[in-house]
Amino acid sequence: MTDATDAGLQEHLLSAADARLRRVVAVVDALPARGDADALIAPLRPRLARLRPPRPLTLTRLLFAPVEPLIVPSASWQIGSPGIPRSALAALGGDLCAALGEAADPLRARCAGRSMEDEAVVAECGAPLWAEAAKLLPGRLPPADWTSATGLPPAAHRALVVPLGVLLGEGVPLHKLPTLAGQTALAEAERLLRQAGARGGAALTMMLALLLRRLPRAQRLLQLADGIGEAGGAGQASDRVMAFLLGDLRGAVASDAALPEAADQVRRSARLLEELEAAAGAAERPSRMQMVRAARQDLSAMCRDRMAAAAESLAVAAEMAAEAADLAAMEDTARALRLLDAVGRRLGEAEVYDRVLSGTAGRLTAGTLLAPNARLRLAEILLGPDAALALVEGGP
Amino acid sequence: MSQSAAQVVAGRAQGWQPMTFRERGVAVPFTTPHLAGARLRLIGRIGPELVLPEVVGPGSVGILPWERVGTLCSPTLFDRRLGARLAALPALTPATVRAAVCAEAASGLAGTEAAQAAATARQQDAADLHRARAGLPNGGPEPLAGLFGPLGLGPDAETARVPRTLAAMTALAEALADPPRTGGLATEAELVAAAARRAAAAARGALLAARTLAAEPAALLRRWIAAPEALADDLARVEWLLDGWAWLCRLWTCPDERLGRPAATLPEMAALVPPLPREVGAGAGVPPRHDMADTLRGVLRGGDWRSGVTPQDMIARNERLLAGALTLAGAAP
Repeated sequence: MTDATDAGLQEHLLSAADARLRRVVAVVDALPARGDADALIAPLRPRLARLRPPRPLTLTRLLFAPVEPLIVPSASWQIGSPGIPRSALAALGGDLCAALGEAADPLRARCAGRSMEDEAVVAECGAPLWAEAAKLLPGRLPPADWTSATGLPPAAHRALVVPLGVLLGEGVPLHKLPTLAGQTALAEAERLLRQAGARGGAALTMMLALLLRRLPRAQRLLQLADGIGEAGGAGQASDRVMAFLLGDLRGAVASDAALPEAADQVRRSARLLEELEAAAGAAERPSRMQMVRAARQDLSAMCRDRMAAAAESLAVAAEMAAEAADLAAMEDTARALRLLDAVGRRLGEAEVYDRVLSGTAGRLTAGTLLAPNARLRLAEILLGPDAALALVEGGP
Repeated sequence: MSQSAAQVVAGRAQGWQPMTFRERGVAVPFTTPHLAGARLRLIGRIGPELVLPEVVGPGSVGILPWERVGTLCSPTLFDRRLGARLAALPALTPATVRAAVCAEAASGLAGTEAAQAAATARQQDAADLHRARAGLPNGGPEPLAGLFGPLGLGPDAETARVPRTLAAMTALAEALADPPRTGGLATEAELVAAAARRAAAAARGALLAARTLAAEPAALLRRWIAAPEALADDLARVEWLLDGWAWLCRLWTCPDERLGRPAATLPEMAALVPPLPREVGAGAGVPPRHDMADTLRGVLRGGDWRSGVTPQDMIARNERLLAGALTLAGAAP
């Protein structure tokens, strides 16, 4: 495929309806080797996360299930980063299956026809696979086609398999971690961090990044990682993880995500920022504080832009609405705007949000296409009951 | 809310047990998060009062004159209009409140789903009335048919609103006895299930007595002529016993995904269980109260941005609950 064809196809997919996109993903999933097709759907991943199409349970998917939050686009990965480049997944998975030989056949048969949503099979087949991977992966050499297949240098192989082996050795508890309640989860996370710390700086960094993606309790975990890292000569682990997480914040808020998902992603990012800020302050690390401030400004600007664009879309939609379904969708948009408002004003420039909300509500109530009570409801969602009433009655 | 805003009428050691149903008040499906689960009562000459569960603290009940609701929160426009309509009523009963809610929801101020539910509820009520007329001798006096309508008479009696509510409560109690569905919240699940069983058993007894009365037309008419108000009170008892349970049934079957079931749903349900008043008899007992965590109370009011649930989201959820409670659609687990 040429670059021009790729670009055209991607553009076509970006505007495709949800059902069509699900069918395209099913076709890509069924390919024996995904290759270019993977790159084709890369920009659609945030939307796919929302659509949650069924993902067939393959041994490669199963292998990386406990560390899935660490998977990043290959272009943004470099040696020393705690992420796992997406292009390495198939190569590492294929190499492990080759090393397992016939031992992989029963697992492959058990997974056939299942999906990643089949939790019981994932847990049943994952436990032996992760244990074998922990033993085999660190001793593997790069496959002959490593660089051509992944686009990564040979040194990247060792940088990945050594810490991955440590993390997959804890595959079962890592997989269960999201199901544990607050304090129990934190205690388990601390245990996992200590275990990884005893196995070297790369494992500590990767484990810390994974745990922070799973649990928004950065302060305690970063403090612990600082202590473990300094005692073991790996004092940079927390800095690397913070750079990884902060650098990824803006990317996490995908431009093509629907507004409710985007607002929720901004919320998660803001929550993580708050935790990281508190952790940096408590550790008295000015360099970390500086990193957090820069990320906050970046996220704040993105949030304001998204707010303004979504509010404009809402006002335009209200000028064309005719059906009850349109009204329900507009109300959902208005509620998502309020979440963006609640989070965004914490990041800075609260007056911008006031201005956007009151301006949009003003345009909505001035329209005539929607019924008076429908306009009143939209204004109420955006501004609250008192301001909505004042707006409609022409009060202050 | 500050303690000065509402009068606290119960300590935290045990639940509040009103003397009568009228003292307990009628459950009103307000959509404002601060008013979710509130009741409204009209006793004495001081105007309607809100009876607020869990607003001051665990195990407490707050009493606040409706006219001072603004000191507690800024009610939604729907709640303001509904409150004004209810405040103008001469008596607050489950039937008069239901009629007012249907009338106000039809305006669309509680959303399209609630407006459609109000229309459906009116159709269901009309069908119940039609069947009751057919079940009474010569159609019975019109007010009597109105009282028997929700109870159900004749061959299709079980399709009426009260039997459907009882079926939903039975299904709820059964669902709550299934540990995999209640997670680790066995205490809350048992509290709600026991209260549902108790209220349903009392309501079944009252329903049987009412239907027995309808089966003896001469005695029924004699009582109606001699003391119509006393008979109306007796027939309305079933609805008082079930008051508030349609909301709880719907809360269990259609929870907000982001709040999580059962983690947030069961503590909320446990805090909203309607206490049976002493007038029900010895079986009512003092209701145990559930200590709701302050953090959860904050989330349920949409006051914690970290949860991703805003006050507007909670209002939308309460509007869906209102719609479901009006028609009992999807109320059976």
